[in-house]
Amino acid sequence: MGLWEAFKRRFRLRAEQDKLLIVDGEKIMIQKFTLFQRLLHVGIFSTFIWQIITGYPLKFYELEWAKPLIGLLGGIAGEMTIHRISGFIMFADFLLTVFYMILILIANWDLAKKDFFGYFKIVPGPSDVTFVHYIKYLLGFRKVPPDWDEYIWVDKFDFWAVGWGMLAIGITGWMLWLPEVFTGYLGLPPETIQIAYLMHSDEAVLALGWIALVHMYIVHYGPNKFPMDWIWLTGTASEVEWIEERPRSYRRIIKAVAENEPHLLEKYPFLKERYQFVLEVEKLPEEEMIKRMHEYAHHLLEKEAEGGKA
Amino acid sequence: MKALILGLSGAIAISGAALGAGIPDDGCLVCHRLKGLSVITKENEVKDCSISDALYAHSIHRNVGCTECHDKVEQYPHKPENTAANCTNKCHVVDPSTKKPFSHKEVFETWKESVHGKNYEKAPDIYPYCSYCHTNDLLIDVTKLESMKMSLAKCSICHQNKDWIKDRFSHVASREPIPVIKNGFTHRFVKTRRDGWEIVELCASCHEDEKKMEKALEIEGIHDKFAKEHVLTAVESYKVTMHAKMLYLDRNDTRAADCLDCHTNKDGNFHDIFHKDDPRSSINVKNIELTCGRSTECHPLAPKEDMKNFATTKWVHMHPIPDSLGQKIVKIVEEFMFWLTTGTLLFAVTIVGLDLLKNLRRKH
Repeated sequence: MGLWEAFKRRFRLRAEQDKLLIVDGEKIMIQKFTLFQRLLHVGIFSTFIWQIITGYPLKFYELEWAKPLIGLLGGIAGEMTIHRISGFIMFADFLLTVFYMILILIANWDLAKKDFFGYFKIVPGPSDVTFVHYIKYLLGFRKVPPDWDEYIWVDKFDFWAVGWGMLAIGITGWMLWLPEVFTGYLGLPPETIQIAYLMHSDEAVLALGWIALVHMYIVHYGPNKFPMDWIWLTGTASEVEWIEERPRSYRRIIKAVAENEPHLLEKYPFLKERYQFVLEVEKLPEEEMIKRMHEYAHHLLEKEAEGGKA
Repeated sequence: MKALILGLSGAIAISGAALGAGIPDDGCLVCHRLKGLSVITKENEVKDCSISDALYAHSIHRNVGCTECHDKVEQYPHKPENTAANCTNKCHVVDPSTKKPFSHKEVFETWKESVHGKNYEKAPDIYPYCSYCHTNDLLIDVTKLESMKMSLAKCSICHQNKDWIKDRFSHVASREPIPVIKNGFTHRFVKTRRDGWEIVELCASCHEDEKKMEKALEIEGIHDKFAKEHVLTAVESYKVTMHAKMLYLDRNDTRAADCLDCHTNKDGNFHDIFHKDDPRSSINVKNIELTCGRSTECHPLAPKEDMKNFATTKWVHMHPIPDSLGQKIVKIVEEFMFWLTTGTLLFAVTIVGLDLLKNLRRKH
């Protein structure tokens, strides 16, 4: 096997059927994140927490809690050291993610040319019309939630917002850390540091506000996830969750299993049942289809509960 | 009669006690040591005129007689309008370096030409006189401070009279927040007794007072919109900087620049505060690089030769005032970030609220 083949194999996008896991021969799970992706997330959120702890006492320095917190962090010197080390790790995590994405793009260039948005589902594209459906649903102009794909609007927003955030807060962080280098040796105009400061400070509010309000709601304190969605740790979601939250992706995965690994349908009758259900509901109009899928998820949940009791 | 005799004997006894304590009070403490001694001012305010002889005896000016500074007080009872202290007087204390009577005259002359002194006569109620910033600080007993012992021992290598060393060292060290120690020695003897944030608060006590500053701008003849905005927002726009936050949050960390660090000249006498267009000003375009050159202590990477871009960054006063193209761009970025943050967070609140409502309805 050549080097190119080995590289391609390592960074090839997973086939849809590979996302389906059969646990104990009777339970379906969907793998959303790989171990590496989960580690990238751990790197970002753990450093983010430290950045908040060390950065917010500066932002709101005249509030009562700021001074004691700075004292606990070892004074200004301690606070700055932690903030900079943590920021450095966070930025390294970001660069690693960019590098990883480039490698994936290179290894899957043939697929990208064929159907870019179809394969690179994290990129905002035509399927995001679902966001309009979502707003209509929230405002009562639609009866059921949208036919979400593998990445819903908030997944995409969170992912790309970190990219913007790293430009707005990461690069400006470097400038504030080393103003002499940027204005002195690199010769950037004096206003650069002022802009860096304003952006760094405002972006910190924006990032925490968004994470606390939306991300935490979606994965922690929302009624369907409390106390938390464990997917960040396990990388997998239950079948019921996937049907309810990402029905389009579910149908595609089941169909891909049936088409590419038909022997599994013979081996696991419940898989065959799912396939037949998917073929059946796909004939229905969209809203009716989503409704039926939610009912099916509910039915599976009840069945699981009965099994548990027995 | 009995009362008069008793009163006189009391006064003599008190005055004797003061002299016994070594205070050359010119008899002023006979009255002024009485607690609660007050006068009613023209503005109908009660002004406390009492002086604690115990505190005075342990102050910086303990060796200076009252009338050496309050030189218009020549009779008893003295007139209220004659009480001002003349800080330029030569006093009987001899400067050991010149063997001449000590005087603050040189510093006073600098102040008189500075932004604070040049218009003082026109509006003494808004410009700061010496006593606005300088109080008669208490001495610090250096022998009681473990951290000072090494420095004290170092002095005695050359100077033989231990009492004299203690006295001089106390005088100098009393200007410092204690202990500011590096490797066992006081390393930065004289800047000011106030820490950085206290200096900011002192300057802010006038510069944050909009009415006072408006009046000063009128006297100075500054009518340009942007120039006025620079002056009126000076404190507010300094307080959002990293320098201000460092000084406020960690009073032991004296690295960050306070007002005096930038608005006085390097190797100056800390009273040479001039308008930025004055070539003597530390923030004049000719001197700004040298002034910020101080910061090579904090910003060791700062280029020593060409510091123009670093020295002219406006992050020492953060708010953009659109008087140049660069500042107009900063203003646009500031507005953009404000609306981006506000808009995104409003959107976040709305969408989470609607989703929560939808979820709760579905559950019921």
